[in-house]
Amino acid sequence: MSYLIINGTTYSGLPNGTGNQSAWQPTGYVPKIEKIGTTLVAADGTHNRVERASPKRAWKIDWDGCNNATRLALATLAALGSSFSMTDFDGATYTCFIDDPFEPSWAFNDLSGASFWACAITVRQV
Amino acid sequence: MGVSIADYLLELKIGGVWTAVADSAVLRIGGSWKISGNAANALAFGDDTDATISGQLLYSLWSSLSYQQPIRYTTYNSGDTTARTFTGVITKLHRTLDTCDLEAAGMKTLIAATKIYSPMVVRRPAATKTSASSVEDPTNPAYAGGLINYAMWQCGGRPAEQAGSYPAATFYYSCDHALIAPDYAWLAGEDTWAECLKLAQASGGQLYQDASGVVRYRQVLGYAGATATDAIGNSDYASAEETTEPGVQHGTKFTCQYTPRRRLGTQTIADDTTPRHIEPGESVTIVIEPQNPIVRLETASGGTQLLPAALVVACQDGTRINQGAGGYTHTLDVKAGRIIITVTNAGSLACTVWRVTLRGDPVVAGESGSISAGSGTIERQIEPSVYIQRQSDAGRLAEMYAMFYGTARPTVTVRGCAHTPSRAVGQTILFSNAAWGISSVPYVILEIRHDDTGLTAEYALAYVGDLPDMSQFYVVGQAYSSGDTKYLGW
Repeated sequence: MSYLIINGTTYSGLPNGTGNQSAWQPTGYVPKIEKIGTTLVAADGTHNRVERASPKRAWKIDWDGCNNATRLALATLAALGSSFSMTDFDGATYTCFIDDPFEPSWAFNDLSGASFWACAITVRQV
Repeated sequence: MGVSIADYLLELKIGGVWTAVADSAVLRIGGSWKISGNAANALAFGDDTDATISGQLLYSLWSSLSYQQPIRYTTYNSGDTTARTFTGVITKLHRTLDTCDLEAAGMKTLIAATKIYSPMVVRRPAATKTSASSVEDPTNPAYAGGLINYAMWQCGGRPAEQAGSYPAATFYYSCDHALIAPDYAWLAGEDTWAECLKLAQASGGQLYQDASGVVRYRQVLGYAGATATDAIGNSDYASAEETTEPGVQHGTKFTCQYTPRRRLGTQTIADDTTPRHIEPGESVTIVIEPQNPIVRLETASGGTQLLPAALVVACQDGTRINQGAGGYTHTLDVKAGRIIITVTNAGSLACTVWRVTLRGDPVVAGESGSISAGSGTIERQIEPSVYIQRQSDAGRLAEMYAMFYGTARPTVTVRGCAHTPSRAVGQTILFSNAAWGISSVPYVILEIRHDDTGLTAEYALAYVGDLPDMSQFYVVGQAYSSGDTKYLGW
């Protein structure tokens, strides 16, 4: 099983206490390949696609209810002012950045009173 | 579906070396390249092109940018080739907190700003064909170039066909042989680009800068004769529209005025009595601009020294000083419209240049006349030009106007095309449009607008299938065989 490794942190933790408890595994993961170019539709219907050589990738990653330590790790990540590396579930590594604001929302408290959070980040290849 | 890969390269000349701008620092580049001097007509004599780009870059490049800095832009498409899309100089800079914007224009900005005085050019084509072996350096005794060639050279240009010999040239130029050779032509410090355009207009040609920065003089006749290797068809554009709006350019009868010039015998062309004081070892520069341009200045043998009688130089006590060591020396720069004499006091006492009397052969204007070509009710007067000096030249030009402007020539604009780097303004392509019933008909590209940093383009085209071309005429310097039937000329 591969884990996400973002800026050197392995997101391997599970609610059952196994793995890295400072960085839980996400519950949602949507990779996207963004082509750079344009499609020109000719008058006779022909699609003419002009493409840049390198597409760029982006990943929408979310956590339904992560622990507080994971929320803090994501907050630190989202606040970075420089690019960082990310290794995706396929084991490929990319140089990335987070443009969007980080807006965690409180999900619930468990019986011990610990808070759990719904978090989402969109990581973009730069 | 056709899929192609596009790429781009933006370069700045920094410290005399072309330096690539990192692709990641380029946010957007777009621009246009069009025949613009006479936009009311699709194919106008004397037209020039405006080549411009505008771009947005990351702010980090701001310190590398400067006004009038050379810049060039190359685009690539895997379905076509890699080609230069623009070469010019930065004409406008703008910055915000995050980005910087630039605008750049072609080399004509530099040419226009260079003031040139030329010798009198007698009965030579306005432009002469450049080749790998053509003599283009005016200082070469074998020089026989046209006035446009002369102007380009003096502005720092070098022949594109000899680019290997001039790797550091400011720009390159390439000329066709002009059809008309004025009796007398000269440059006298005006806007050089504007003067070259006048010459082009008088000889049925166009002057423009191509995307590589090469300034080209081209006979409009060449358009129709060009072999088209490229095509724009229904599958290449999203929309097409055609406009016919020739305005005042269109006519059925054209009248051209001419003003003969003739060379007069040797006579006094300047008599300057302004006293000019010169201390020992010092020099004074005297600039004489004769009322009429001159073909020849009377000089001592060799042509580099004035006759002794031309300069009256004397000491403070009135003693006349002679040319040579211990007296005065001088240098001479003779052009048709300006003579510069630099006098140096080689003696030990101060002296004064009391009088400068120059003799030469001036060229003066004769009585103007006019000649018409064509017939009909829409009469047009061709704009008079100092370079139309013979009735025969005026007649040729009127005939050409009647041929080119006698038809209201439409302009076709096609949009939504993939940018094709190899296409150039002035290039003949085969155009097809099923709705209009046009199939592989020769059109010439009048304008290219490229955008999205080399992804998209639109084109303005003009039909040239009905125009005569060079192959229908005998051209001096080309070989023909028995049985060839061609026109002698206009």
